[in-house]
Amino acid sequence: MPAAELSDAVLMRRYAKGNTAAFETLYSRHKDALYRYLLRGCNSRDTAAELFQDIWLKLINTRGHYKASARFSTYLFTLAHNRLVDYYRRKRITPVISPEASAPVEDQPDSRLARVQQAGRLMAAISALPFDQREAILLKEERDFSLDEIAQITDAGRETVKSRLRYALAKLREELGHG
Amino acid sequence: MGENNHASDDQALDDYLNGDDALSQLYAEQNKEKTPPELDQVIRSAATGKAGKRQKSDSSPRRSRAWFKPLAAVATVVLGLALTLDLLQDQAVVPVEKSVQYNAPAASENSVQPQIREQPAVTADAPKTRPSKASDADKASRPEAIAPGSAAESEPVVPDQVPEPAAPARREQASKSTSQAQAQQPPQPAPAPETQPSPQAPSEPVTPDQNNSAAPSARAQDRDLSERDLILPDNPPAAAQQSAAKPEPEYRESAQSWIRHIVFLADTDQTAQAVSELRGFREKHPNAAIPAELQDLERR
Repeated sequence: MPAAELSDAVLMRRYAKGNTAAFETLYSRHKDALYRYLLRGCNSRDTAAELFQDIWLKLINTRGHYKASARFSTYLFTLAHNRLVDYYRRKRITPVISPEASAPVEDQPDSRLARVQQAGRLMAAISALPFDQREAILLKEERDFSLDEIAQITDAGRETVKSRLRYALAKLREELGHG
Repeated sequence: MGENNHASDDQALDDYLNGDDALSQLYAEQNKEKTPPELDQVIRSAATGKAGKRQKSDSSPRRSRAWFKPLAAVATVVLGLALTLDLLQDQAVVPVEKSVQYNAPAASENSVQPQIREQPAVTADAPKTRPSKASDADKASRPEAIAPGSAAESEPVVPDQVPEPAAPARREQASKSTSQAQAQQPPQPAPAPETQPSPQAPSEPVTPDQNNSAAPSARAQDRDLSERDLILPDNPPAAAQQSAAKPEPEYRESAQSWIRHIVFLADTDQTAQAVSELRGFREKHPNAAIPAELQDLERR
């Protein structure tokens, strides 16, 4: 079976035994979603890169202890969530809207300008959300996690996650004029 | 009104979770941020390096490391034995060296036997029995005029010249070494009555006052050997040292032995005999240099 068709857990086990090709497949599957989650989560490219590196290095160093008790992506994003929480605790900062989190409007073609502007506003609105709501949206958008998985990753109750998503959607719709 | 809003929010959430929401489409269209290539390189190299090391270690059979533990154990034992032997040797050698260095000048100074000199505590605690006729400066200078340290270190010492320590065991040792020294010496004539220093017999009990060799031995470590060589250039032979304790005419054969004998008399409170011997010495050696403390005696 080609490596691309193997599950994350199998790839991780193979990597734990020394198969670097398995890691490459695994990494390619999750790296961009994880990076975007971190980037939108902390609104800083430098911090996102630092956290991204920490997470993957931890995964590399502890690959022998990995147990497939949950989906690999859940495990990976749980690591990412904990890193983000630590980051905010350490810095004691309140997340703010970051222009760098939005795509530069000037670089886009004129025909898509309206769509790009709308996307920019969406990203800005997501960045302006409280961290808990923003994180719930990001996890849903980036990896299409279910309510239960988001609850597991963020160590919150299912209803809590639902509430966070509900509030987040209302704010985003209001910001984009979809309400 | 509130219930309608809540119901609409629930419906919107369900649509969103089902992926039918416009927000999700907009997010998916525009949010195509990629991981920076340099970050990819860092992670991949880290994963490859770590995995490579792991593969390498996994590929090596455990048997190849089987020698490591016994070797480490043997090395530890050998190192421990070497250190232990080294420590034991140090303990055996260092105290003797120290005592020899510390007391060797005292041997030449007052003919202290080696058994006594090997115990600095005894010499340090010994009471100063010498009468305070000479000043401290004299005391300090007196050992300089007695004998060179080199001779004392190399030559045996006659035990019966020295007041014995209080310990009986040491007296026995002193008696033994005295008898050995006497057995090695040729028979000597009887001492002249006027030059008899009246030393204590080896077997007699020793009073604390006669332990005065201890104090000079403590002072002797600061002695300048070169100065002593200037005053008494010749190393006194062992026989001369032995004769200093006994009233034998040999001690008058050389100036050094004679001076040594006089110093011994003075140190053991036999001042009258010391003065008498000094006068006799002056008659034979009018220009010879004498120690400072004997110069005091000479003025009497």
